[in-house]
Amino acid sequence: MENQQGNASQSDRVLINAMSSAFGSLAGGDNLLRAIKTEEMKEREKERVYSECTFGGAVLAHVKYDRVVKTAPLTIPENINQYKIEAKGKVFEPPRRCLMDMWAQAYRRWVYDTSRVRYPLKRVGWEPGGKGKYDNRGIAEFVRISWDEALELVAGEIKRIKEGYGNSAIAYLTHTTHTTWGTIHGMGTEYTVVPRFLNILGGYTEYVPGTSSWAGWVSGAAFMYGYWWANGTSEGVDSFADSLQNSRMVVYWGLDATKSTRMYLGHESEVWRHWVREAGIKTVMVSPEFNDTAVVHADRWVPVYPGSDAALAAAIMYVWVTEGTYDKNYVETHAVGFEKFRDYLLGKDDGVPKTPQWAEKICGVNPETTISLAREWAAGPTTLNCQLGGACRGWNGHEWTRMMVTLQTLQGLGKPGVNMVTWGTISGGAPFDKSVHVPGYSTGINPAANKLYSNPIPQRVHTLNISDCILKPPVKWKGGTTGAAYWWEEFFREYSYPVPGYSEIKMILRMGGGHFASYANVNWRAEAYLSPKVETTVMTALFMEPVMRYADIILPACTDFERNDYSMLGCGGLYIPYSGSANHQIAIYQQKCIEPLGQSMSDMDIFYHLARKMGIEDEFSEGNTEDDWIRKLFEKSTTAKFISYEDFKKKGHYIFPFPEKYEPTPPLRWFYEKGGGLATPSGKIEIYSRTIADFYGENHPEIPPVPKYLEPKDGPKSPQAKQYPLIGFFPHPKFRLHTMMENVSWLRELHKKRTDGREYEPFWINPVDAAARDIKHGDIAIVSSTKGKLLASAFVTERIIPGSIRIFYGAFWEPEDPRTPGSLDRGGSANVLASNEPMSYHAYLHRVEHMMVQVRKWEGQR
Amino acid sequence: MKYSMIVDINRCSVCYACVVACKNEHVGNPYPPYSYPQPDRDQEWIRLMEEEKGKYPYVKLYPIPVLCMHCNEAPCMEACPIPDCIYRTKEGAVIIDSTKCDGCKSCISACPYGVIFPNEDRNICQKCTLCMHRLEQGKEPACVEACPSGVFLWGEESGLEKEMKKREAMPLYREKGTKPRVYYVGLPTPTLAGHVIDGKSLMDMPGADVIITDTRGSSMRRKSNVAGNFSLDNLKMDTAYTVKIEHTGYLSKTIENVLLDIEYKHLGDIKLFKAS
Repeated sequence: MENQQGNASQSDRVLINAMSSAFGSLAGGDNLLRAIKTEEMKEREKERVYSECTFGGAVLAHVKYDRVVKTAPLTIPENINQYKIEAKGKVFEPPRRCLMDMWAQAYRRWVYDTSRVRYPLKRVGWEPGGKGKYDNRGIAEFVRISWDEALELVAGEIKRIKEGYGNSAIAYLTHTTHTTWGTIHGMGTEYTVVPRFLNILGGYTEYVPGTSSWAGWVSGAAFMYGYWWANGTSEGVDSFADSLQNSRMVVYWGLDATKSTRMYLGHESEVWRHWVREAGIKTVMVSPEFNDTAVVHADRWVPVYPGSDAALAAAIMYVWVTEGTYDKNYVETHAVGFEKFRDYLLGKDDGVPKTPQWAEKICGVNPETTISLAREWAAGPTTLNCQLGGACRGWNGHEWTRMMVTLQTLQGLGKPGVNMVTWGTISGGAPFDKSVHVPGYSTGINPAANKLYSNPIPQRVHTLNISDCILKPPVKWKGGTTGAAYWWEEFFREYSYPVPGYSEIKMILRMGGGHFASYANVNWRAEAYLSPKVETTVMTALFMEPVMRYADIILPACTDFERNDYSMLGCGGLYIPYSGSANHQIAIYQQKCIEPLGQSMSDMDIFYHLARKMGIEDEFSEGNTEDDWIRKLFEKSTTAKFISYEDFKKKGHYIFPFPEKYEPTPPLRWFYEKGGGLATPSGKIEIYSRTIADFYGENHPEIPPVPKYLEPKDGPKSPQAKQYPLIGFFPHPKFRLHTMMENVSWLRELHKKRTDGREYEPFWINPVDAAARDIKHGDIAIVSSTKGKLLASAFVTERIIPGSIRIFYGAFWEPEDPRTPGSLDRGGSANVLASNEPMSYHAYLHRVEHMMVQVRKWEGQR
Repeated sequence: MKYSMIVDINRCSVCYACVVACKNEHVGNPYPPYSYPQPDRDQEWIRLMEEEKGKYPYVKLYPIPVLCMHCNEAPCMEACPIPDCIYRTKEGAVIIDSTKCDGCKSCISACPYGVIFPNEDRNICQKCTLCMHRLEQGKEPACVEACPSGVFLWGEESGLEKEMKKREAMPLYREKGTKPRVYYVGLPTPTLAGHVIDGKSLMDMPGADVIITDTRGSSMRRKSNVAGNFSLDNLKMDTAYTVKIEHTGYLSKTIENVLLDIEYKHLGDIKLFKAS
């Protein structure tokens, strides 16, 4: 219990101290203080400031008495040049500080949360050698053990499993749900340090987390214009300057930019959206919800049913085609296969013209609104702000993304003012000095290593089938990309588990954010851990999250405040090479500002210790200490040209001045000028994809060569809709990052409903749907789908389209009985409801955003 | 030097950075002589009140950051039975002296804004200090610094007067008459809104004149904005208005008897047709 209490008592001391000087002596406290006030105390009393980079952006951590007492924004001195944009007779310049969001503001509360795992733990009943009890996973208690014992046990189990079954029996599970920010620790460890450790040992069964936030882009849009290396999202740098200067309208489609772009950098992009308004550019929001972006940034809200957006897009293009208001020349010179798409729009192939009236029946948009939107769009350069999360993670997400690319293609993608991007996160937007290279988590320590190791084990499991692989092998599947698909062949490759000659999984090594609440079908996911086939499960953990209950051994990791690292604000490294997602390019030496809490240690240190136990320390570390890795990465980065390593360490950050002479490169302008050169077979935008046609044929019902609106298999017209008539959608959460910070009381009290001693996750429901179910604002309701059921509190609002409910995913899963699959979840974890069915035959990827659900008032009946 | 604040809720994107920044600044941190630490929970020295008006699909959200108004005629000061316990600093902040406060909660009952909180563990009442400790260091309050959207206009009282007039800034719950130091732009008032479009092309019509007249003949006038939207606020509930829309080259349109029966009434798409 070292949280508030600890904090308060320490604070008291400070208060008493200060007050005693201000008001004279206070009984007791004053004397006490005098007694302990040594020189050391005086030293600790001084406030120290450290540079940090968190997943909520760059901050300065203020430390007093060895505790972080505050996180404050990192500021940009007046003498450092920053970008300015002239547009519409105005000059726009960003604030001279990093814009912290609520996560960065609450970061210290998170670091000190009572649920931190402080000591290595062992499940009661578990024994090494596969001899223990398995039937208490999920409900067992843990006992504290020493690091020595813990490392001995883990190393012993790795050896035993490896020798007994072969390396393929070890599965390493990590998830794109993020831990703390870092290049060598945290996310960097997840991506590079652990695989290195296991590869030196001879490899492991890879777990493919699949991309979920970008699923539709990589499986859809990328086939049209390439950008495989950016998960199918296109160029971002200089996009909003282009919009401010040249666009007549900005359409936000299928995302809540204000909420979702905070990931990695806080509110850096919020000012850009304000500038759009200030520049007099009109704005539209297409979304099932009147979201936070719409509240302040939309002139018009066009509500659509979740998962139906592609129909609206088709109808808009129908209007353009029939009225001749698309850019015919551009389409001829820059795209291939438009004719086939036009035939689809006009109904030449299926007898159904994709008119606004046709679309209305699917997406619920009044035909006049569709026509109005289509004509406004075609009347001048329009920006389409649409990439992150939202609709691309849902039913047939790849058709939505292909429709989005097609919309902009028909208006001349790359022309001044005609671009598409989400401003913020890793897809960028700001002017950006491309000569600056600073490593990020996606390449981790690799650039600094002399030798890299690859995984010789061909066996893999996928996030959509891991439990099936463990519980009922064999399993076969096609596709299933890694975090980012680098080429389209990835989609057509076939896999099976187990791979002949390789053992099934016997040991799970897991690190990263809590995946139970972040990935679809939680009940099914938890079932795998109950299997006696899994003899040992080792997890590294910051907090005692729900998934940890299923561990056999828990190794306590520390947060980014408790170790050193080197990274750049908002940059994931190679993920998206030039992001321009923040207003300033800042290289950060993430300074260790407090000692690791309890006996926790950095992610990398844990594997250093394990490497030593396994006798592979030399290969693993190449003699590098933490500081060596950081220094080597630093020396390979642009930062080294401007500041010495010692000064950088001391100062904590280096802000790259914006170049005095800057040549903007608006997104896809080069393509507009050149008419070719994209990473597609033709080098042009492929509205008709030959690659898809060759592989799937001309008329595949789930993946046609031209984008189409496809009826979702388990959507509102499916048989299950009788029992589950509402469309549930589960977007990226506002008050947490996936599951991260779900435990922070400061944030929980802002949105959770507190009643009968519990806190309930809220869900949005339209008054019409609530009244039909006799549900009032604040009532607790049971929400169910074919996959599970949960309790949540009704937030009755006009801000959501009728016939639909919204729950943010990521709430901690709290099943009534962790050992009974399908047991009622009191935590309101939306992914209990979501299906782990792949998005389509083509895309073996998450479609976690949409699911048919039913809601009824909770009166104690399960 | 007295400070004041204008809160422009039209710019607020409901991000809660201000609310959590206050916790970051104050939870566990004492700033003597102005404040004891804010407890971990149940005290929001600044809260965000989300006032939703209108009917689907024409919704309007008014996110109102509510903090201590540091009233010039502060009911809490009058209600407090302990001499000099609640006092005003030269910067204009109303401060509860935690060393004098005995937690009687008189101030809590007296405050019309619900911004004073009991701390049962310590037997004191606590609230926003306008971040006096920061003002002394020449910084702005934590909530102001945290806002990415420029919702808070902060400064010396005299310097803000012009802006207050220009933007018709008003105190929250003006009828309480406590003369707050915090002023708001864009507070919810009975509002009539609509979207003017060309009846043939269905496209937005900026620059249309919208004139509304109540039954007694007093009228208001607005121009539709770049997206064809108009919004007339500060109207009277349950009043019938005549709405007339004019645009050069178009036949004007009159909608009689529009009853303002909800606080944010939207007339939907209003079509104007060319005069020829």
